[in-house]
Amino acid sequence: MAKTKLSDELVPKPFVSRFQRGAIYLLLVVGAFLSLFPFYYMFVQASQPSSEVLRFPPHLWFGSAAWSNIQGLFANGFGRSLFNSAFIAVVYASLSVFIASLAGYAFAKFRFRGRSILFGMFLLVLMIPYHVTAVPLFQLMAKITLFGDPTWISSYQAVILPALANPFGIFLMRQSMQSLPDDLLDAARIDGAGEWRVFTSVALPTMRPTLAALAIYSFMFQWNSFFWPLIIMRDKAMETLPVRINALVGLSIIDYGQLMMGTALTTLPIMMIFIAFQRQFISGALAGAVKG
Amino acid sequence: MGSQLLTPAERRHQWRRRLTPYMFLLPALLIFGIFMLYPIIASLQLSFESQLNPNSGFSLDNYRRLFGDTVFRKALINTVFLLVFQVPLQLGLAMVLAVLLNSAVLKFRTAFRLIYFLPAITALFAVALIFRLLLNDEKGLINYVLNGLGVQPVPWLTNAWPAKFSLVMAITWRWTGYNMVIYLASLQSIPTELYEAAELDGAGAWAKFWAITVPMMRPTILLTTVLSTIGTLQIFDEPYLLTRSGPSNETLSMATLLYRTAFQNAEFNYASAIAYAMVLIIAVFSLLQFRIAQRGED
Amino acid sequence: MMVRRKIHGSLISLLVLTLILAACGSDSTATTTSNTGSTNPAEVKGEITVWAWNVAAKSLEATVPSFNQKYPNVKVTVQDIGRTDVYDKLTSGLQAGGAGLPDVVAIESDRMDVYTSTFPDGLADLTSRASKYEKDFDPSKWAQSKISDKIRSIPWDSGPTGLWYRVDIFEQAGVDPKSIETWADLIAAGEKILAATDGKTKLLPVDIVADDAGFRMMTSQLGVCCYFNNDGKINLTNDKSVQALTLLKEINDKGLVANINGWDGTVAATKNGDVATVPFGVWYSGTIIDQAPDLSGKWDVMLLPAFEKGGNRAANLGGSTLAIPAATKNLDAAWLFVEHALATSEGQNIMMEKFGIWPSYQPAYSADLYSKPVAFFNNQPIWKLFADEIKNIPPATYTKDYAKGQAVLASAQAKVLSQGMDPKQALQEAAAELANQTGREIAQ
Repeated sequence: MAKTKLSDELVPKPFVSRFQRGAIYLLLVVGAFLSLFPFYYMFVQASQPSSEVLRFPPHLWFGSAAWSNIQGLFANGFGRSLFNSAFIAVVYASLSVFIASLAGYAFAKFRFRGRSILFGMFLLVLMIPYHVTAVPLFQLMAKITLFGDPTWISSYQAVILPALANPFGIFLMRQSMQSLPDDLLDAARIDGAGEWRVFTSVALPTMRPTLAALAIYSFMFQWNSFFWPLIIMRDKAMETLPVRINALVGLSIIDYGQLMMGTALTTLPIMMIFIAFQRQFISGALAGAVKG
Repeated sequence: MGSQLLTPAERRHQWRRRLTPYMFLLPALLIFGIFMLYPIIASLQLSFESQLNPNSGFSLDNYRRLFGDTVFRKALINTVFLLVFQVPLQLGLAMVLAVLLNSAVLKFRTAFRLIYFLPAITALFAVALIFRLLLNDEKGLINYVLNGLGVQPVPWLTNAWPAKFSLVMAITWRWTGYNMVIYLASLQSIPTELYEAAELDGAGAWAKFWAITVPMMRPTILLTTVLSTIGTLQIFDEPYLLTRSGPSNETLSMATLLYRTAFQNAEFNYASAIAYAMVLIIAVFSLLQFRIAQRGED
Repeated sequence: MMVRRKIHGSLISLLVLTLILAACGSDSTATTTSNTGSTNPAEVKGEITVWAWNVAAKSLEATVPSFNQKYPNVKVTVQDIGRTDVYDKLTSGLQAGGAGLPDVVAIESDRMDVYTSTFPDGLADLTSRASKYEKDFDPSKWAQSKISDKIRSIPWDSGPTGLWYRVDIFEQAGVDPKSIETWADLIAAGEKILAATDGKTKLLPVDIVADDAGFRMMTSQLGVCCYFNNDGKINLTNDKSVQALTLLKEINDKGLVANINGWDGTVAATKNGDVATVPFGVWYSGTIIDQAPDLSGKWDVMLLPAFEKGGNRAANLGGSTLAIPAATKNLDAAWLFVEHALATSEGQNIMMEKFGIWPSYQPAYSADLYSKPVAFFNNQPIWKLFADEIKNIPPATYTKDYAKGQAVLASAQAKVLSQGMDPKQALQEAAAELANQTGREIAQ
């Protein structure tokens, strides 16, 4: 057993040799560079005209076509898709957090028949490859005529509903809710609060950080989602951003500049949200997951 | 609980209490039943209808075909290969980074954490094109730089092993930071008294890592292992967008084969059989991991 | 046909789904039908949606004004969709019995068989309306549109091949393009160019591991494209296929191949002077103009060299069709749109002129633009070359297993070019592999 406290970087201890500290920083900086460089390169390419993207040697600094690429995108329905993506992601995030917290609360705070089977069933979905359910789901959407639509094909609800019972969210909320003291809930019940009130005014408020984290994750999931929106949205006016951007890939002509700008503009909002809410992203979400 | 001793009002109350959890579960169950369970059952049923002999009723044709399908076998081998290398690499690296970042001396910890996490929040379609440009054989930036350093260019996407390596790199790029953040949070929840006590016993860094850190983080490690395993066995984005399953199907994964069969070759029944073979494989692996984790605890 | 599969009644009823299904009738949308056989164009009414890829969609959109002059009461919406995304949507729609499909959809010719074999009635039968045009279309394309004597699609554009070449690089190396008649001539020219550019400029690009386009062009030239014969048997071990792969090996062995990856790699090689020639379809003209604007005047095109002096130099690579999903509620309007865009010189030449989409409809070639010089391409009347080539293209056979063949051939190509395997042996192995994957017989 080595007794050198100096090499002890495995626990929070302020004693690390200057050389080791330098090496650690160097390693971390290299890692950070590798993490960030693809993003930088994406923005560089997004500012090039289409015919400069495949130029060799490659451009490493920004070009002059950023604005014309943006204009080209907006001329081709980018604005509408931006709205669709934002609308769908916001509605999805709010609803899925609500549903997951209801379900998580039930799993964490009640003993009832079928509890573990139902919980296992939700988790089972994680194992199903999503491509295989797309066609039956599409058939289903084609048949539903609720809410006055002729079918649910190309509708917001068709994108929002299927993934609402999000297994990850239910799991996360259950983990979080388990840390809620039963005494607190019973105290409220003794005060005469109904079950719904106990949930909304006692359980939910204490869960705020986890709720925020889950909301951001759900937003991100829906914002980045490509395949299901591609299959179900068959009207240009209803397309989401990833689908619209992919439409730039033609048979023999591809507008690389616009393609890059489109992907950059799709990534940017998520990056900004992440930077703004990174505390919720990281500590909140994982407080639950970590307890396993 | 002798319910015969209760008054009708009490019985009603008890009945309502029993019903409560189901009411809370109702929205999730409804959505789940309609939009998940139904498509799963429908596609499962499709998998038992012969692709080559439609309308022949219940048949195991597709599953039989799966056993003799050399392409599926290749996809399975490729995917398991990825699993064996990818999951330990990505989780090991994540653990190393988490431990490094957790040492209190470091400044800019928040910034590093943020930067490492960034790849996980972006959709791969956004970066796949960039990666392809970077990894291009003749015209790629990476080979351009290597060439400048006097290193022989590497056929990143056109040779079997380099392509597998590129795939591993891309997946590692995207998911290491994510797992690192989970580990970091878990590390920070370990009481420092444990380490202090171990130090009094003269334990070194390495000993403390294995004696305290790993056991305390066991649930987290299990969770990330299972999630990464499921994720890798279902891997689609990277092989589809980055290596395009090539060269010669060397980076074909089970999910890309499923997609190709279902949507490009329009063989949906056969594709459904591929999907449920995948589910079975995933279930076996997940179960195995839980068993191993449990045995480790005894 | 609309409900391909019985809904799993008993299982669903376990769920709350019954409630919802009860609320669903069959499609209740009011259909704006037009009178079949109506003689007055103004009486044709309706709204139709058309799906195509990016630039192809723009070109179809450009035909709408002239279409609406004839048929003012048909509203046409053209939607641009990503390259493979079209197939994802089409497959899922056909699988769901025609739900959510447009009235007209673009499909690459070599993919047609996938749909006509898996969904025999998924695409409308156009025989009665279209057969009168048979003599007008590129014969090799028309043959592909006919599935068991029924016409399921109309050829849109053809891919007559050419050898795109750099005039300036040829000059620099002292190669006279007119002297190149056979592949042997071209190989000799390639060696000269390689020497004159210090090895910087190779002869042609090949995506060795992923795309057998060169092999397909050569076999098309030799009349044995693509992988299968008319009886649906695997047709790879014949002498001509071996000859084609042997030629590719020879070009590669002499160091004349630039090994590129993917479409982006081909484009990059084209614009950065890595290759002196690109053998590709006529549609590559648009790519060169779009991606290498600074090389204006430096590109020209000739026919592919022949295998022996005086041999066939015509071949096809790529091209697409328009089909009408059988589920359309506006078959008449959809047909009239397709007819106007593809079976009139007016429609085809709008697309040709503005977007370089090469008509499969031969009467279009009598327009002036086909004899005019093109400034970008060395000021030569390059379109005339392709117009004359069309009628000489040997027919090709695709099947629903074409995509599988493509993947297998790319592997075979990689074995031959990268690992030096004997072409004949590689093709025998490829045939066996394809037989395993498709259950087809190997032709003797």
